[in-house]
Amino acid sequence: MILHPGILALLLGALLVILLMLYACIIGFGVLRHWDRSSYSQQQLELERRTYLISTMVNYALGFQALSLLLFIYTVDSLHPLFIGAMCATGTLNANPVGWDVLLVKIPVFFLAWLWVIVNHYDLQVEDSPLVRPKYAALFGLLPLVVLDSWRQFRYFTGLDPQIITSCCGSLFNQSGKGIASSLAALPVVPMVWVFYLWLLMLLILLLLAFKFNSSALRYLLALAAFMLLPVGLASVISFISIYIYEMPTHHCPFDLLQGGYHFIGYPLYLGLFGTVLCGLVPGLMRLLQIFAPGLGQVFKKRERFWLFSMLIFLLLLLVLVSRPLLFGSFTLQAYL
Amino acid sequence: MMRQLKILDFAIASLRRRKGKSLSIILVFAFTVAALSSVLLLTHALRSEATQLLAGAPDLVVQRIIAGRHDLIPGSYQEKIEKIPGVKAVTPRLWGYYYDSLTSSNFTLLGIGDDAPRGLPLLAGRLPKAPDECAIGSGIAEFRGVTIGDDLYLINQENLGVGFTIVGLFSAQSNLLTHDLIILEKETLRKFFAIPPGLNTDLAVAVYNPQEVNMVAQKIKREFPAARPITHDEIVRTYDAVFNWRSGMLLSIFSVALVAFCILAWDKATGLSAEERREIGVLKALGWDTGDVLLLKFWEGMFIALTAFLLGLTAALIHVFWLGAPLLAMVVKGWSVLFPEFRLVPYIDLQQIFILAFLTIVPYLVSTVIPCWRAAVTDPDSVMRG
Amino acid sequence: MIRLEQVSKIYHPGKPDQVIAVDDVSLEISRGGVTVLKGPSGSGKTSLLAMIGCMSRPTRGQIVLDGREISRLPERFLADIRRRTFGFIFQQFHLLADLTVEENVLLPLYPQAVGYAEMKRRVEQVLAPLGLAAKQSRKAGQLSGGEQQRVAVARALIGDPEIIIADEPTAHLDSTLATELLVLLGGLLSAGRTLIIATHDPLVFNHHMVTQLVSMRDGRVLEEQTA
Repeated sequence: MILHPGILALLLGALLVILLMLYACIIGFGVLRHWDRSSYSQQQLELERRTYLISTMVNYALGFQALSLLLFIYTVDSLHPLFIGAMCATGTLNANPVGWDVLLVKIPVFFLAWLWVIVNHYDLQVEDSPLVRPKYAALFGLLPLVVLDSWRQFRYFTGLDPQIITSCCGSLFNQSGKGIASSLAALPVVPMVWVFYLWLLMLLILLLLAFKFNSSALRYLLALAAFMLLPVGLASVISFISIYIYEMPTHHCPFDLLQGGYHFIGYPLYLGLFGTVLCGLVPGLMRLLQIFAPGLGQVFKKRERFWLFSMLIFLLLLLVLVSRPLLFGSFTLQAYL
Repeated sequence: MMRQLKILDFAIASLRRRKGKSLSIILVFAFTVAALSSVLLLTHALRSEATQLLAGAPDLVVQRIIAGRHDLIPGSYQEKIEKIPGVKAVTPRLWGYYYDSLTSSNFTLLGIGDDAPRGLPLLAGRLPKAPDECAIGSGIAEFRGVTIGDDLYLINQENLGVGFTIVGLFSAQSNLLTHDLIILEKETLRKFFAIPPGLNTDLAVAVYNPQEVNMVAQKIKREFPAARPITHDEIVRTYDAVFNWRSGMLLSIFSVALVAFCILAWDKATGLSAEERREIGVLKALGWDTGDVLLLKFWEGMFIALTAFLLGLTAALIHVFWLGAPLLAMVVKGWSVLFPEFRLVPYIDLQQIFILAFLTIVPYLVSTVIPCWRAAVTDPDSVMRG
Repeated sequence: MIRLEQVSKIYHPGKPDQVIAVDDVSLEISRGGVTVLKGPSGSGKTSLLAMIGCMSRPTRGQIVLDGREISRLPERFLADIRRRTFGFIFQQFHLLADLTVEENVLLPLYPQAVGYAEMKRRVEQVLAPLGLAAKQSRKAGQLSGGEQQRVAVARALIGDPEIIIADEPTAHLDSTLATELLVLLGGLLSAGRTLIIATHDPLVFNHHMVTQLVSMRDGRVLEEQTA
């Protein structure tokens, strides 16, 4: 175990998030059991008031979770000098076998929590809050994930031992290696560029169609395509976006992007990617929920354009950040192909 | 957006109206932040100084250990090590500690030949060239009250006073390295300490490929069982681990202070005065929703937290970099074995600030969630019921 | 336009300290008039007023405002209706003493999407006719009783509400100030607003502008007179 201040902050944050979520779930359980929209009773009023507490606590938990995702990458990155062979976050993550599992839970939790908060926000604007029960049931689903995330993070940090000799991005994202990371890096660049741009183009077309037509099927398609952008985008980062930014044909690391040496380009890049995915999911999800809660549709109708528009902005941000080094960078793969 | 801004406005105005209460909580919070920040800033600064110190260190240092005692290393070692594949160069180093009874402090005497040490910026003058010349660090200049052109008197192995003319003075930038350093010519030093010819203090080994350092170290160990090779990475990691551990320990201790503060915050937030309770009642009656009051309380908390954070951070910066962290002296004493007294180079790292903010603001917000909610669900008709 | 159907308000129902504050009240209040709820303290008029003003929900019965059933709406919707439809004048006025006149008047507008320029404009518009323009940045605590009363009226008017609700507005005023207040309220009436007042002050319920007089006792309506 390394007593790095960042690790302490993360463990403390995780503990607080669990506490918040646990308390929210306990109150949520009471609300689930006694909720009766048609009741006039004082108890119902109390329950309504508790929903504010739950919303606030989950909002806080989400905010801390988002910050701790950043802090996690930050800390892992700054720990690398402790490990022989580690040169960036990849090396530190490799230093303990559960390192990658942490990210594997953190990112889904991040998206799920966002979706919960968004759905909750709109549900509260409907007079009878039709989704109270499914919402709190979902909260119970979210809790184990949050605990798992914290537990894995705890295991990861306590298992870190500076004696460990680790391998870094150079070997993990090595095209000749085995395993998922290597095969991602070994994805042929030119077809991957095509896949990435065609996917973005498809998203853009779906998005513009969604602006024009009010079809539900279109929104489901958009959500599906946006969801798939996550793997496509991450694979693209490892396969070709990274090498164009680093201007090195063998450097595939997805974390070095976040360092000052590359002007912190990774932050807006991942913001664009994650933002597009999230905003793309929302309209489809709301359409789906509308089937069970027609009141929600009335409320969301006015706000849908906001999400579509935000998605457009994130999409363009992603497009510009990826295309700039491809089009204007001095680096060209010509010589290596 | 408009609503957020106006409620923030109102929150600041409310805090201003309750000056006493707001100020007391800001001060206590700021004090907690200052304590935590001082620890973090100090250890981080020490660590970066150490990194700087080690940047110029050789890839591998070979000492000779006899029965656990450090001993002088003979020239034969050098010849054999030079023959190990991958070794670029082997440089014998001659240095030693000197106890100065006049100032009762330890100096480091380093002998240099044609191979002047890297990365030691001289404030003024030059390195010694003649047997009766020396260059000294700022600490010695201060202790002894001497400067360039003066003579520095040291007691040699024959218990005789020897005078050296000071020709160079090191700048404070490299304080950590040169604070207690006296540089003499190699042969002068040999005579001064009476080290027999052919023996040296240790050997600095340079290798071609840094990744082979461990391999070379193992080979040396096999060749000379009495040798103790120390790699550059080993030193860096030890320092890093020590600093992380120290600051982690201290942070854990100070987190008790943080917990105490959170309890205070909880208490302050729960103990709404009758006047504040009436005020929230009025707001609710006039059409503020529970969510609006929660937002108001959130902005109040945020404003308090950020103000206190900035205050505390500033106090810590002044405490550590300007005053030299006198309040942490107790703990620093442990380090002073490693380091002489020195002035840290002020610098601010975004990650440090982020971690500090996370460590302090997050617990504060969490500890005020429930009290704020309690206040926010005041019955709107409470003012009418009197 | 406000219809109450068999409305009851019971505090701590089913507990030993149960209080039936309002008991099975049905009432219709029409637009543009002055409705006075009259009765001794404890007669339930304040509880009834709170329900009409969307501050609390009835334990039983229905309240219909402009055709919309509001008795079971969640609090956040009630808050929204409250600030768009009602202006309140409380007993003791409930001004915040260390806020300025302007800030006090603006309190209902803070959580709404109204810009700063618009707030400024509305404050001036409301304060000028009440003769308070010069006192805009004085602390409310430093004002005389009469001035405080006018600030309270200004605050009730800032959201341009259709209905003004006043709870015992003259309870702590001498007769000069009480008369002055009634003149002010009369002025509001002529601007097309509806007034609902709870009081046990004869000066108010005997006033000529009252169009509907509801006498209450023990949470029930004893008598209803319309002018």
